[in-house]
Amino acid sequence: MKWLSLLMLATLTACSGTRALQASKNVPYATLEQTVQLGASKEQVRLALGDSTAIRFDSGNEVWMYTYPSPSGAQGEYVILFGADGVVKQVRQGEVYKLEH
Amino acid sequence: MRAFLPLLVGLLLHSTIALAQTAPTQQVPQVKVDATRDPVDKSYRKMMQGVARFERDHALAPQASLRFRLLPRQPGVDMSGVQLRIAGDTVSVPLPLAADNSFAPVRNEQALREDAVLLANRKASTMSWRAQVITPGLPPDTRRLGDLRLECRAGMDSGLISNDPQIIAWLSSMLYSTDKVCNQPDGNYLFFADRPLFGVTLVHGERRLALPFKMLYAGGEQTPASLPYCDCQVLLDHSYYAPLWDAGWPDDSLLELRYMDEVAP
Repeated sequence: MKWLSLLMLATLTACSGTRALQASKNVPYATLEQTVQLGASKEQVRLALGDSTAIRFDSGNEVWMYTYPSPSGAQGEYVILFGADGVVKQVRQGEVYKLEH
Repeated sequence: MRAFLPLLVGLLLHSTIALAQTAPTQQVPQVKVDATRDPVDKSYRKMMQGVARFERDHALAPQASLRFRLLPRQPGVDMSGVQLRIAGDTVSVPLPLAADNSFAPVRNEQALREDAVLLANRKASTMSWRAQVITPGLPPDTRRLGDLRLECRAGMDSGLISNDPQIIAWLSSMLYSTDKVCNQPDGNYLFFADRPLFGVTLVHGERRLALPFKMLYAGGEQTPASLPYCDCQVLLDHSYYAPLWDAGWPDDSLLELRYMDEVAP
């Protein structure tokens, strides 16, 4: 039974996978700065920048992430927090720790 | 902790139960079942293994002490008034909880001999557990990387995986050793902040680097279907991974936590 369970686990592992985040959209930094203002609505941001990586939480908050080419040549992340009321509450941006995998 | 293992096991468990029902009768060891115990209560012996690991690797956080903390696992669970005790055949030792639902481990030889469990006055599936290692005197809203490294090791050795059927513990121990989870980039040991997170910045001396989006919110890979199998179910927006494996960031590195409820500058 143990071996059967292991076999089933291996099968499940092979076929289950997880939902990949929607690929982040690469946008010039100047466009991000110009578009994303505190108080802007999700629709305004979506219309101007298009869809990108996003997570919605039970609280109603949503976090969206765009990427941009930074001056150093690395990729920066531009992260936007929408409150439950659907408008921009916070923004952060910068180069990020590089994952090895 | 292991964000995806519980989902796999949830699926596997259904299959395993079905198989067990149709398997031929065979001689099996007799197990005494105490009906008052929740079958997924934490093993006291396992918890003390975590204590031993903490003592062995204390150099990672020499000023810190070890506590364990109960966290909400399911929506709507009331975390006020939780009571916890070590329960063996003859021994019962209350474990007083602090306001944050953490407690200091207590060594009790009788409880070890009796293979006692940790019993709470909540269904085990409603709560999750973590080791807690906090160096005193850190700046507000920061965590120290060495503390997190030690939390991972003590937590894993304590068997503090999600409160799910015991088959998870068996599978987890096979698939995910402490060293693998705590020392490899794909170890994916989840940490939880006290409030919803907007960002985490790694800091050491003059170096400052934000953790990527993929290291927040359980990697962003949870779906409505998989979320109930993650012990981040109600703490998804509190969750983050830390670069435990990266020797380029020493133990004294800090993680600065920025919260969603902060007012934008």
